[in-house]
This record gives sequence, C-alpha cells and structure tokens, in this order.
Amino acid sequence: MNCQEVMELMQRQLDDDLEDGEIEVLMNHTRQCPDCAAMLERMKLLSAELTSLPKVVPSYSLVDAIMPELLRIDEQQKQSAALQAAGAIMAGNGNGSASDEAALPRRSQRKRRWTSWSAFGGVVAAGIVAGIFLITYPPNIGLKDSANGNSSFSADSAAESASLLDGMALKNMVKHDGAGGDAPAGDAGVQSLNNESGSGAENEAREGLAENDERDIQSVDQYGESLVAPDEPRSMGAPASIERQGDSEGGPIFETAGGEAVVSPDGQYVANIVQHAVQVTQAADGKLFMETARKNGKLEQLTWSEDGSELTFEVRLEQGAIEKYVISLEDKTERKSSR
Amino acid sequence: MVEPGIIKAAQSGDRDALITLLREIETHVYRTAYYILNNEQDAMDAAQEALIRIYTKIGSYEEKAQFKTWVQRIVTNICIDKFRRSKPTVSIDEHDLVFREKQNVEDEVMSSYALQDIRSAIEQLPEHHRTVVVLRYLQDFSYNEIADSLDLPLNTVKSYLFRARQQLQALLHDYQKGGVRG
Repeated sequence: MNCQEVMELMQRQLDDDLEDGEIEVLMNHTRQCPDCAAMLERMKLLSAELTSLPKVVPSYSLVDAIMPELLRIDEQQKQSAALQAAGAIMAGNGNGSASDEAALPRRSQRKRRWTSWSAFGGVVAAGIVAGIFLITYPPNIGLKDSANGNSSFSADSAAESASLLDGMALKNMVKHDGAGGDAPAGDAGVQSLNNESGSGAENEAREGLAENDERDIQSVDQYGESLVAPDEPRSMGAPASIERQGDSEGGPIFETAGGEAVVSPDGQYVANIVQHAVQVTQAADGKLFMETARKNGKLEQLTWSEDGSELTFEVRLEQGAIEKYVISLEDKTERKSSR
Repeated sequence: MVEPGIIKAAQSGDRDALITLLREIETHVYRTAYYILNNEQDAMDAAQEALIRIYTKIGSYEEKAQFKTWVQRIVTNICIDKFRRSKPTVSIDEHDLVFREKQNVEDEVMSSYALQDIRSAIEQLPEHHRTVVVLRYLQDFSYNEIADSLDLPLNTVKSYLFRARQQLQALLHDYQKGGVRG
C-alpha cells in the first residue's frame, strides 16, 4: 500500500469509517513510514480541534425575534382563507339557500347558517389548499389555464419551474415586462406565464389565490416580505443553478404579490408594474396617465389609497432594504415615504 | 434530536407544536449558520430566515427524509446564498489580530490562538468544503446525512471533507510555523 492510498484510510479513520482489517493495514503502514505517521498525528490533532469548536448559541431567542413575522403570516393565511370562504358563501347564498333559511324561526335559522358556514368554509379552505398545491406542484393544468395563448413556454419548463419554485415565485412576476412576450425561458417561465395572463386586464381568476388582497388588504407589513423571501432575486437570475431541488418551496402563497393590474377604487385608473416602474393608465381609454422613474429593485405591494388619490408601492433593493414610494395622482408626482 | 410526535403534530396544524419545534432546533440552525458565515449578525439573520422558512414549509417535510437533514438543508441553502451575494471582504483586522497576538503570545494564550487559527483557516475554505466540515463537526453528521442535506453524492461528500481537512492541516501547519504573511 502506498502513502497516497493510506492517506484515504487515514481520512476515513477520522470518521470511524474503517473496518478492523483496514485499521490494521493503516497501523502497519504508519509503523514503517514516519512521514505517514507524522501526517496521521497532524490529522488527528486537526480533527480533535475541529471537534472542540465551541458550540455557539444565539445571544437571544431567535424564535421570539421572529414571532411577529410568524403571527403576520398566520394572519394573512386566515384572512385569505376567510376571503375565499366569504366569496364562495355569498355566491352560494345567492342561489336560494337564503330563502329557505328565511322561513325558519330565528334561532334555528342562525344555527343553521352557522353550521352551513363552517361546513362551507371547511370545504372551500380544503379547495384552496388543493388549489395551492396544484399551482406549486407539477400539474401544468393550473398554469396553462391562466396563461394566455401568446405564452410561448412549453408546459415542461412551466412544470419544471413550478415544481422548483414555490408560490413566492409568483411574486417575481413584478420583475418581468407584463406586455412583452419575450421573457427568458426556464424558471422565468412561471412568472412570465402569470405576466402574460395579467397583462392588459385585471385578472382576479389568475391563480385564484389571494394576490388580490392588495385590493382588499391595504395595510400589509412589508417587513415580513424581506424576511420571508430573500431568495427571490437569486432564483430569478440563475435558472441553471437551482439548489433547492429537493426542498420544494411552498411558501406563504397568501403573501401579496406585486400584481400587475390594480384598479383604483373609483375605477378610473389602472396601475401596473412594468419592468422597473409603475404605470398608471386611464381605465376608460387605456391612455398612459403617468409613469414613475425607473427603480433599482423589485417593485411590489402596489396599493391604492382608499380615496383613490394616491398609489403606494415598494421597491425591494438588491441588499434587501425596502423603499416605500407614494404616487400622488393629482399632481402626477412620486415621493419616497418613510416606513 | 427531536421527537417524531412533535413533528407530526406540527405538520397537522398544531401551532404550539410547531413553535416548540422551532425552539428546539433554533440553536442548531444558528450554529451551522455561524460557522458557515463566520459572522454573528449574518448568522442571526440567516438563522431567522431559515426558521421562518421552516415554519411556512413544514408541510413539505416528508417523513422518508430525516428531519435534521431537512432542517440543515434549509439553513445551508440560505447561507450559501448569502455567501455568494456578499462581497468577499478581506478581514485584515482579523489577520492583524492574529499577528499581534502572536507577538505577545504566552503559553497560556496558546489555546485561544489555536482557535483563531482554525477559524481563520476554515474561513479560507471554499463554501461547499466549509459546509461539509461544519455539518461533520458541528452537527456530527455522518457521510450519508451530509449527502442528504446537501443533495450531493456520497463520494463527493467524502472528497470535499478529505480535501478540506488536508487544506486545513496545511494552513495550520503554515500558521504554526509563522509562515502566513497575508
């Protein structure tokens, strides 16, 4: 056995990976070879030092530190589930079940409604979960349905992307040009598909998920976003080197994405995130009303104020910092706002 | 490490169980991040990110994989990301510190000096070699467990680990001989 082969034995020895026979071979060699004996000693010393590296602990409880974020995530999920449930139930009630209930005495009527509510809610919630699964995992159906005809991506790349990227990838939509059909292939496939379908029209049905909450939930804490989805910029720019293969990311899909088209409360304007700027077009004729300057990051959280006079959005910079901007419609200006 | 009961409970919606679970693993998550990133603040950030991700993705953990390897996979991915994105800085301060200590070194200081060396040496390893060393020595993972965490073939894991140890050994040899002058 030569010294090089013995080196391998030495290494494995440090991990207790040798069988008795091999240990003997190693010992025999080092007995006769001073160089290898010296090397073995150094390696053993090194291994001992590595083993005794201090078992550091965090200086404060990390779980406590993230608790606000966890609560926020819970809230979002609850709100989204409730919204979907409410929507479905109102549709259901409209079909006449309400008239039946009106005939019954009040008390049992209330009871009935409660049970049907929770049953409905349960079914709808289950449906939502199934829907989310469909979106984030392979089945191309979900993506295809919401994609336009002019989407040029193969179902394969979409499926692959879908299985590799999590629901958070949906938020990446904002980065791509909603109008163009020339987005890069690969993992951008998912985003562009969503973009395609979103371009030109508000698309509530898109993904059927709660990205709509930018309309309904005005006050979303953006801090959480930066914690939860730090890997987005990376997965955006490096389709080839996706390291999270086995680790499918079914992230908090209920997070608000920077949806493409957001209609103002009075219905007069439509706000869009286009490449790195926000465009506001007139709903009536589609004419461009105003456009912000180009920003150096991802645009998200496009939200109208209650009276429709202002539009806020956020820019997430490369290093993770978030800038908040406010667009004032009457004077067509934008300004940075403090958090 | 963690009882399987808690994991199941956490997965089926028991929020308290999930929080308890996070508390049980937070130290391990932090420790890995600390040794890969070699910086307390970065490690805190990365560890928090990892915990949040685990919280939201607990549903995607499949029993056929070991929980601890699944957890370590998440934190190492985040760290390697951070690693790549941050600019490589030359920690001149640290090297100065080493040399200064060397000049004043007494025997009793030798042990902390040795620690400085090892940490500096680890810092010089490429990210995957470093990660393998961290999982092996700070998490006591076997070759297979490391392979599962990093999604690497067994032979690659061994080759990274062996190479890393050789490099560390060479670097330390240099340090001790006073050969490193930056």
